[in-house]
Amino acid sequence: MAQELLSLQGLRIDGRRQNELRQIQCRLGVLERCDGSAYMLHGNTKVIASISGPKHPTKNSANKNRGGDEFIFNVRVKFATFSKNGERQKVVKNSKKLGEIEINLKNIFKSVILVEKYEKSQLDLNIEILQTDGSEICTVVNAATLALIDAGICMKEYICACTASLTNDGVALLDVSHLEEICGGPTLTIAALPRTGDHEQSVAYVELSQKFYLKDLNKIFDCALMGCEKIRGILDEAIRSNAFELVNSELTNN
Amino acid sequence: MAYNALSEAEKVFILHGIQDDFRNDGRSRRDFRPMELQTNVIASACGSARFCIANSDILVGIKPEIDAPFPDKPEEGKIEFHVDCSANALLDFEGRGGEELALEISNCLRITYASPFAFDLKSLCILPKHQCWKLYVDILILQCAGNLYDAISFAVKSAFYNLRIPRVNSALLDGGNVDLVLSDDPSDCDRLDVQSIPILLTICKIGEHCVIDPSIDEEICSSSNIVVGVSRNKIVSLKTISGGSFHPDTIENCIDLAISTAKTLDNTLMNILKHEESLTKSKKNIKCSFLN
Amino acid sequence: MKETILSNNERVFVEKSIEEVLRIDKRQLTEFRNLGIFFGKKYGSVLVSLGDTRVFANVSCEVNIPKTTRPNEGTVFINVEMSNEKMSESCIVTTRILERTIRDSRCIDLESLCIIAEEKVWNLRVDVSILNNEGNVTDCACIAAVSALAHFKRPDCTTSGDGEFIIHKSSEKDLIPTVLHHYPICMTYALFKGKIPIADPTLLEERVTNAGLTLGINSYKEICSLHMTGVSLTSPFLIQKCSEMAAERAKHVVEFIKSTLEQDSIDREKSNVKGFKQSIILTNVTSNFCDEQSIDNNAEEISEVASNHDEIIVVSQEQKFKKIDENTISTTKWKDENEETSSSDSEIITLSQSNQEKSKVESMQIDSSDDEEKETIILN
Repeated sequence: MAQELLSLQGLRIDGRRQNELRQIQCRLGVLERCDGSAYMLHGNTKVIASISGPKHPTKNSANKNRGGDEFIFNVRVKFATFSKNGERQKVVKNSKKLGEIEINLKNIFKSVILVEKYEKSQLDLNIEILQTDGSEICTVVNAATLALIDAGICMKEYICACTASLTNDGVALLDVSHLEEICGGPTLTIAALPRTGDHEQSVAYVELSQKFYLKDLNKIFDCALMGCEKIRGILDEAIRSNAFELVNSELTNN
Repeated sequence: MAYNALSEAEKVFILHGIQDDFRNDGRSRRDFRPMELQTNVIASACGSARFCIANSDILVGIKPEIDAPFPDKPEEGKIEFHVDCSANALLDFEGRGGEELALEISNCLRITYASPFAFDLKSLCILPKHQCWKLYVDILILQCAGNLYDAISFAVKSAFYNLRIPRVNSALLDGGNVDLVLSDDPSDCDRLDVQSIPILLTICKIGEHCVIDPSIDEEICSSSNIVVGVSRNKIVSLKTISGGSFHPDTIENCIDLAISTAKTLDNTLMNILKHEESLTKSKKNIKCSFLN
Repeated sequence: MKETILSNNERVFVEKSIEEVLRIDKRQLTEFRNLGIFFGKKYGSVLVSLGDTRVFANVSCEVNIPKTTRPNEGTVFINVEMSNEKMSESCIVTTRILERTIRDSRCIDLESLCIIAEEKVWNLRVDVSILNNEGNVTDCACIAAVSALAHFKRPDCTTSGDGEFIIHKSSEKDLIPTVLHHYPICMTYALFKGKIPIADPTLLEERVTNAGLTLGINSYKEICSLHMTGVSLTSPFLIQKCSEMAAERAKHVVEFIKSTLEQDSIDREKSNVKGFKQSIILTNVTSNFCDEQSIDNNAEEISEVASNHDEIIVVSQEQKFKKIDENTISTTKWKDENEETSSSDSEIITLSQSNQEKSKVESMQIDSSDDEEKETIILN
């Protein structure tokens, strides 16, 4: 590792503490022509997610489903060509990385959406990643959760995603930025349903890159899960304030 | 290109409204819808802007790269336009639906900017015959509510205004290789002269009358559309879109209408851009973020 | 090729049996299938079988321009091909898991692949083709890719100062082996109802559970990758439990790869390269857990594997079976019919082949004359 991820004073490269999230801002209903949409700013990562549906399956996706009655969930992810620092991203079709993200998102949300309510219908999730600064997948998941809620889709719970990393000395770091990603620490991305009532936290998706010792897995896991809980609070607040605003504007209009 | 299906009655309503100079959103034939502008929204691009006309929402990011000039134009830089229709914008854009429209728009921009009156490509030259800047102008259509051409041209102009190209301190020819020394200070950069950068205006013929800034419903009702590229009272491009035909006299009327509208709009746009810049300068430490 | 529809009966049968801690192929829930690694005549080509799943991996190298961000490092490209579709979902997922496990864990010494910094580096290309999918393709593909990389040797290069270099033929200079810092191994557990992990799922089990957890672990108990496939909700505790089980297994797999590599180099010195033909007649068998089991199963299995490849061997087992300790690999050699040799210190396995019958098939060029020495590693 070229650079130490945590200074002696316990501060990270961007001045955060070990278990501190970056700034998160989110908004619901940013696009008016969709059934549900959300904008998410996580550090410098900017993502717009939108939902269209539930609707009658289009011919194309019905064919892919071979005429089954199952719920069809399509995900499309796009990185804007100017989203990354440095060179302009080329427009690539069918890239494996994008394909993987799309498959993962599909699986994550199929596990929380009450699928049985949406048989014979189709739901499209579109993601535009405008700017990237690490933890893209987790920002995308959080934005998509908000968009789904904005669209009024039935879900079991909020699904929140968060990343965690590990320093050389085995200290877990919450919410990895791009700079920390390229500095070479391991990155764990986790998408989880938070603890509610009797239900324990359950994990819908994990992804890990770079190696570290097995005994540290506990630490990094707990750190990421704690981040998920924190993010749940932020999402919840955004949804509540959005609902409050909606009610208020309805009242003043009438 | 539109998604909304309109009934005959709705079409007739819009048509009659325009005859009486009273459009269905309360505007007259010469009115624009409310516009919104924000520059420097994407930190990873060297110049960026977001421009909305009502719900038509456009995001533009410009990235410069060093390239070799064309052999037949050794002293000129290059510009490349790329339009990306987000599937959020219109249901028609799903899958390959938006590609045709995207190509049409980027071609129109390319033709408009190719005019020598429109854009001084020589300002992008670093070392004649060897190196020049190539500007990638990437346009992302986030939402579409009609009048895309106008919105995109304003957004591109704003992004050019916001564009900061790293300053080249020295360029030396050493044998066959070019040695470039770029400035290390990120605030030390070159800006482009945007005065002459053209804007596009769509004139939409509905019934017997011409309107500007058509909404998506009006675009469906229109018999023909013409896009006029205007740069400082000069016409730099003309293009009819989505079929239909014009009488030569109507085209003249349209051009007159376009030039007069463009003049005021261009001035307003420049004033707003300057005003916005002074705002962000005075509040230097406040982080302006997209959509917030 | 369209997938056949999974019937409800099949689904319920598998679900019920797993609830009763039973598996269709008589394995324990945490038991892996037999693993076999066979090296080809060329360096860097390997055939790996895991149960009936078969994967072929081939490593090749070419000179390439390095990435601008890492000018003194070689590159690794991994390509997974499945015969049915070009860009199927499982193909993308497998490729990405392999990329993460092998490339991103930096197990290959990339700096040693540099020829001239910023100008020329070696690019290792790993082509993995799935020959037969009977479940758990990822593990099999990962073992194949890692052992192919470890087996691969590239030609030597000398640079002559001013940006020129010579690639030597193998006759001029010895080939250089690839340096692997560690061997990351993928271990897949199917997550049944998100609660019960099942090691090394078969295709049927994969389709019933529809969710899995793949862990990449090396023999030093370092986690290199972690990936959840399919639609499921699991507790974080379960993932940690799986990772511990996987770490145990990884050690044995790495040992097995290393011992096979060693055996291969010994064979090569004796210029006794067997190629892939050995994979067809005999299978290498490993396993973690060794409960008492009639050796008949083994014989059946061997004949079953063989018959899959149009080669019929009937091996009947007469007597004796003794329990073998966990996690030991014992080597049994046999030369001829009815000849019994066992070369293990603590355990005795007696295999007697009373009737060995072979029928050759034109398409497979198998030279299986009886005097040829063959080797099986049996652990069960």
